Amino acid sequence: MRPWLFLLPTLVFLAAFTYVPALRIAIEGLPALPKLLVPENASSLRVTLLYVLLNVPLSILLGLLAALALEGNGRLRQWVRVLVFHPVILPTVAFAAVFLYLLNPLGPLQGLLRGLGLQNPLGDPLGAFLAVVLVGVLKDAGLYMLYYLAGLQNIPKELLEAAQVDGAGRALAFFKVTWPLLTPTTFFVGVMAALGALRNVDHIFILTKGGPTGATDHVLYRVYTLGFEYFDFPAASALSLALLAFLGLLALVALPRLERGVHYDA
Amino acid sequence: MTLRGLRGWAGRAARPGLRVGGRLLREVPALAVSLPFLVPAAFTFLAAFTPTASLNRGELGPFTLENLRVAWASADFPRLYLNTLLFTLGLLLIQLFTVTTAGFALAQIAQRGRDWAFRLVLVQLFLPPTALILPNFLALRGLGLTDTLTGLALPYVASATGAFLLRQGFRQVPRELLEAALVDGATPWQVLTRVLLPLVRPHLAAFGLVSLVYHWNEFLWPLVVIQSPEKRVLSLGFASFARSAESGMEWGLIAAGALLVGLPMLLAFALFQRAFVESFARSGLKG
Repeated sequence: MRPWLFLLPTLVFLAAFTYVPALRIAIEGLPALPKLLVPENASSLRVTLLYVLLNVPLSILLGLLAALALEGNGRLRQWVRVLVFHPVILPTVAFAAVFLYLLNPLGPLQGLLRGLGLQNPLGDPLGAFLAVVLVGVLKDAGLYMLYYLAGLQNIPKELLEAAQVDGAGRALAFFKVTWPLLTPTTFFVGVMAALGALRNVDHIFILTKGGPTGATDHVLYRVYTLGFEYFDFPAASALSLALLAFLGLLALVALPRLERGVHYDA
Repeated sequence: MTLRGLRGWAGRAARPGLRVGGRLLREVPALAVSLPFLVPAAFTFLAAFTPTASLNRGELGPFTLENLRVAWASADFPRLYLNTLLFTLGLLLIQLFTVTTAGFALAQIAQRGRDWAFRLVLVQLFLPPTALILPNFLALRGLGLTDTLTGLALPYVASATGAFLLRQGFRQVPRELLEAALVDGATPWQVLTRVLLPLVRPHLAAFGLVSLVYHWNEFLWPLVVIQSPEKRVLSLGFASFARSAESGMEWGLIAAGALLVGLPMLLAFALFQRAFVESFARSGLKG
């Protein structure tokens, strides 16, 4: 019985700020669910889904590519690792603000942007959405690189050497040895990236404020505007419930595996 | 999973003798990966020291400290730093207690209850405070704690990540050590503070660093909770400053402000690079 006593402080605070609030959302959000059918809310849910579907694979990919390119020693690789990791420790709002400058129509990247057909990315629905994805990916990729670097450390060098002796090229060795053995890391990074994409919207406040025309109106951003700018608590509750449904779905997939410690025994 | 490889983070210099051309070719992937990170970092740094008028003409320089001076003067930075420090360090102090006790419990609870206890705590990962801003704000209002740094900290007092991390640490301690202490008549509390705590210090340090960084940078929840300008934390102060600078297209000011906000963490990172890297790796991996 004793150990449960040690868990008590945590359980009390979880009850007050996790369990009860989640229940409250369920109870107060449920009757307001028809409000989700308002076009703006439906569009916000679609934007969120697209954001997650784009953000997660891109950040996994960038984290993995960075780890593969920067593994090992060498002064240049050390420096680039620091460079890739540094946004992780910066406030998202500060990191995002820099992109206000970089992406402005008269900014330093105007040639590149015009080449891409995006003269004023933040003023254009597609451009703004892509900018928000880009900043989200760059902010977190360094952390995922770190997980992948640790994952790569655990792959026995003999396996890769054996593959090479058998005549496998680097690409084949990657797809037959490295990638399968990184599965637990990829699963973990994927879960972290999906969680991040659902809960970190700070850059939207700086870059686009949900616009233009709702193109970046992430559901959590909309919860904030509905709840704390329009004080429409029922609608904000209904949207929060939708967000919790996304998160619950993720938990259903991830919790059993995290619990069994798949990643941790990798 | 070990952190062996990451210790080589600040490892040896490249082998001598390789021709520069060959070496550069081998580093093409590294250079390619660096590009999307180098561009924002370099432009922030350069823009912070360039007058906005030059920036809008597409020029860099003549370099000046004017942006930093104006940015420093347009927000109450000493107050913002102080509030952020109070919030992050105060919270951390309480968290060190809750995650240690929770981690200890999760490592000790008998088989039957363990899965349940574990699930009860882990569920917080998927019900993060940021997704619960609405009901948590209402709860704070009920307690009369809106617009206070205490209220800001409350949803984070219990931490699933921290409990998990500490549980991993406690599980590595040999059972015999605990049993020996208990046979010698030590109470569970004494076992925890005298025997175990010194052994999980690296886990506590890792959690502490990650918690500090996370809450130092946090924006959305403070935006909801804090109303008075004199209680603002750094991210809030910066956002309101950036809004006005953006409407005036004052890019130099924005870059300078971003530098002022990011600098304390960047400096800490430069000084304790390995500690940062290991802490972040550990907080996601078995330590």
